[in-house]
Amino acid sequence: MTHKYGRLMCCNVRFTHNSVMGYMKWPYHSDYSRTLYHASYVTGTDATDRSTDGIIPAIGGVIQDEDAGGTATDIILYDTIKELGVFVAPLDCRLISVAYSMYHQEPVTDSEGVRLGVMIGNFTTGDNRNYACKTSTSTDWKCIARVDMPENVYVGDEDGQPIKGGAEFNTSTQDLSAGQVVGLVTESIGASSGFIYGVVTLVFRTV
Amino acid sequence: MATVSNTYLRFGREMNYSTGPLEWAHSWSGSLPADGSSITHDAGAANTYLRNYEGPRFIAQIVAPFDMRLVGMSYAMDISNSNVSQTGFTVACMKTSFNDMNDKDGEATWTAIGRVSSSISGSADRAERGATGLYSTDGYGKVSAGDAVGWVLTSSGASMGSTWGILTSIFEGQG
Repeated sequence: MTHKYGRLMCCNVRFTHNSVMGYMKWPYHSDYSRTLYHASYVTGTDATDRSTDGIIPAIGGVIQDEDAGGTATDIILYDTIKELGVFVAPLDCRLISVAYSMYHQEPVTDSEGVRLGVMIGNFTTGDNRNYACKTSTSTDWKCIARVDMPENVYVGDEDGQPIKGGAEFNTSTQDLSAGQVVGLVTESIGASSGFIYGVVTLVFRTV
Repeated sequence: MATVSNTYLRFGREMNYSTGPLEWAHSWSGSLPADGSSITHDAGAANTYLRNYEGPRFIAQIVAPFDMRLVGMSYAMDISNSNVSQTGFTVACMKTSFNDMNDKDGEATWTAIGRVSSSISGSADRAERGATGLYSTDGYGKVSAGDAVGWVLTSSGASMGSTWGILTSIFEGQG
């Protein structure tokens, strides 16, 4: 679409998140029967609240295979394409907005909902698909946007509720080169989240 | 994919629906309202509940990142086993509005903001495609930042059987 910010591209991601603390999750592979369910994950021991980084790195930070602890927590290059990716930049562009509309079905006590992360999955044509994702091989995942659901929505153990909001960005950290792939990751904040259903819209402008 | 009746509006299921989250297996019993008009919760009939949580969980395909206006819709459909009395179908784009902390079971309002229709009749298995430009003069095509927007599908005359397809809506930014 054409907008005052220039030519814009939107990518819409429908998803379900359900996790205890300490898991960064993203969709399972594309032919899974529940393909929109965030079933793949890596784990970590960091607490996940608003003052302490969890597993999703800060904006500009990266996560690589060796940062994922425990079993079944590898980040392999084929995961980038087979599971994480929802948008491939058709030309050089910049992520400028993340908007969400969600239904938090049964928040548990102390849950503050979910943290959304938009990640670039770095790789180069010809890379070994079985690479463990590492910065040293330029196959890490870089966080270019992170949005927490608002804290003041939750007071103790709430009933299910719909949530909406978003955030705008406009720095070179959010720049993508043509061919780069991005995806959405999620992480519970405060406590186990219970089921969250939602749609996230990512807006990119040409640069 | 959806099995579409002329007495229901069909829309999507939740994102972790076990037999496929892209199947439109939910329905609202009744007729599609005119553009700019709404459907709401109706406790008096089966399958017609329309709760706040059903917006983000079922119908939403896009969240308006800023104020926008619907300016076009298009479709490509594979239709099989339609009734001989079927006289076409309509895909409507609808918006659903709520505020944080609204009761999840509160009565929702979904408002039609534009549509694209087919008038092809009959029971022949077929593929269809089409598109339309939209530009409302009375503002019904507008959505506000944060509104969740999605689609519903209904047939005319009789059931259109099993339908597989892809839909596209085009918006322009406002302001």
